[in-house]
Amino acid sequence: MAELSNYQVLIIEGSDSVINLYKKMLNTIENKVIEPKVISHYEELFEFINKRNVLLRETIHLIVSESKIDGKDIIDELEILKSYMPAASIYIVSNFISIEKLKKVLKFGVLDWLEKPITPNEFYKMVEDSIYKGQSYDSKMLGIENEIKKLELNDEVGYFSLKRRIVKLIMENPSRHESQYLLGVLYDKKGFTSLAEKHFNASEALK
Amino acid sequence: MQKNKMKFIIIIGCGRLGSELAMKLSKKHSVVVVDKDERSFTRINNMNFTGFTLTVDTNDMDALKRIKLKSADLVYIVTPNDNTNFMLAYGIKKLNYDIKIIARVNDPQKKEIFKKANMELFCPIENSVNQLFEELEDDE
Amino acid sequence: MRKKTFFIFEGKNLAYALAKKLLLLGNEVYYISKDYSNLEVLDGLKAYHSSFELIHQDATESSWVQNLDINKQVGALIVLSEEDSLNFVVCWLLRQFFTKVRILSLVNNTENEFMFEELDVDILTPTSWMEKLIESSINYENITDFFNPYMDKISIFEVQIEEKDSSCNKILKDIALPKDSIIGIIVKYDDSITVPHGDTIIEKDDKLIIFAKKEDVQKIKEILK
Repeated sequence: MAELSNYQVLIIEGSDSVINLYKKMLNTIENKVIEPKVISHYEELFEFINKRNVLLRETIHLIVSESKIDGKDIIDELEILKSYMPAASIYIVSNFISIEKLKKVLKFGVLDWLEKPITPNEFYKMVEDSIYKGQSYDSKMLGIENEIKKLELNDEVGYFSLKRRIVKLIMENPSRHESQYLLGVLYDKKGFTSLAEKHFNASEALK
Repeated sequence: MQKNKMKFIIIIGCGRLGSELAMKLSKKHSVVVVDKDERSFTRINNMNFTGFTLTVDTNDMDALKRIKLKSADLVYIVTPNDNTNFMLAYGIKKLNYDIKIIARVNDPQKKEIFKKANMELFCPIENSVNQLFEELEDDE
Repeated sequence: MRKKTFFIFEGKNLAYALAKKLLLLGNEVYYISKDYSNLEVLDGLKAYHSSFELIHQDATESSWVQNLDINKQVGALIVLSEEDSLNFVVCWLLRQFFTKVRILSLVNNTENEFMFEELDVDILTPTSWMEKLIESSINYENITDFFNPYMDKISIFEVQIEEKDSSCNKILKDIALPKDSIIGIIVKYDDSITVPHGDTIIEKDDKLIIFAKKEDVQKIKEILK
């Protein structure tokens, strides 16, 4: 009996044949069995995002989602989901793509929008990037935020290390306001108020 | 990393033959079935098909670009219309992707043109006739 | 025009009209179809024209096509079915055996045009033409874009001059048209035709037939009107 993987996947998709394909592809990846959660109806999704206490306890690493279920557009619901699961990698796999929708979803942190049919290679890459390349931007942000809180004021090494990591993230994700905000928080903690302000303003401007 | 790498197979034409082929291949591989009429998918959906179904006008060579042909390992062209199969096979071949194309030829008399164009083909009617013939010969 | 031989493959009403026209001009015409109902329609022409022959045959049959007598007398091979894929197969097969003869084919779906062009076949694309005509009648008012084989790059269009237009009563050489555009012909109010030169004066009710690059059409309209 194969071992159960602790890698958690959520599939949001209306078509059974597509769900089965995703499940099949997931199971050719690891030697451990990946059993994804599946949401295939709008009511289920609605219920899921409204159970706040449940959501906060869930650890989901990868979300593969359509942009429409039961004929309803679910992009706003995905945004809510993402806000509760900042560490999850979200990918949209759907043909209902438009420039406006793409911009919208990239803004709230969707990593990519792929069109159907998704090839096995595209699927594997998606999963790999999510499991193996380490954490997503959001989980890195969370980690750094916690470290800033724990940082001791006389820890110069710790300060410079954190500063370097945040700057790297800013350079890699120039449109994200969170990293600018965090740099501001770091400077503020060290007492560099005018520098901090500069980055708080930058963060506001990016929102 | 992948245990047994799945192939990405595209089947153009979801009639009786296309459906059966799709069901069989989808057990081990990632299959995309294309047909110009979305009602033709009811058959495989009722049989719990695993894979993608796409409604694309198979007379429109341009529309075929949507189906990610470039990434396919194999393309089976199995519509019931030999002319359509020829045009599709020829067109896809011209796109110069390095994919294997297998075309169905319904009328054995049409095999000539496919052979002339260097296309890999299979002819269900001829195969069936040969099979029946061999069975008869074996019995004698 | 000297008498030529034409082969028409498939098609019904269009084939009938074309065959009739070609026969009236004294040509020899063969009509080939695998469809009895098509042959019945075309049969009507046989009564009046002796140089017309009907052939019941599937034109996608390699061995038959190979044996067609395509000599210097042949003007063109014309493929007219409603199904682009059938037309494609016929054109492709004809080209396999006959590299020099002119082949024309009906192409119903504009998206399939590129496939035929590859075979060095002249395409007849009514959908494209209608699109252009509709488009130009919406955009240009008095200017009509005519069908021409260089449709993609050149526009051949007509501008009718009214009294209020800025170019009315001006001398041609004083009008600054863009480079690589020319007023080829002027059709006067009485339908007489002149080829203009530098000193020609552009008058009210003149119809100017202009050859220009596609992208200059709007500019020229503004200069003239």
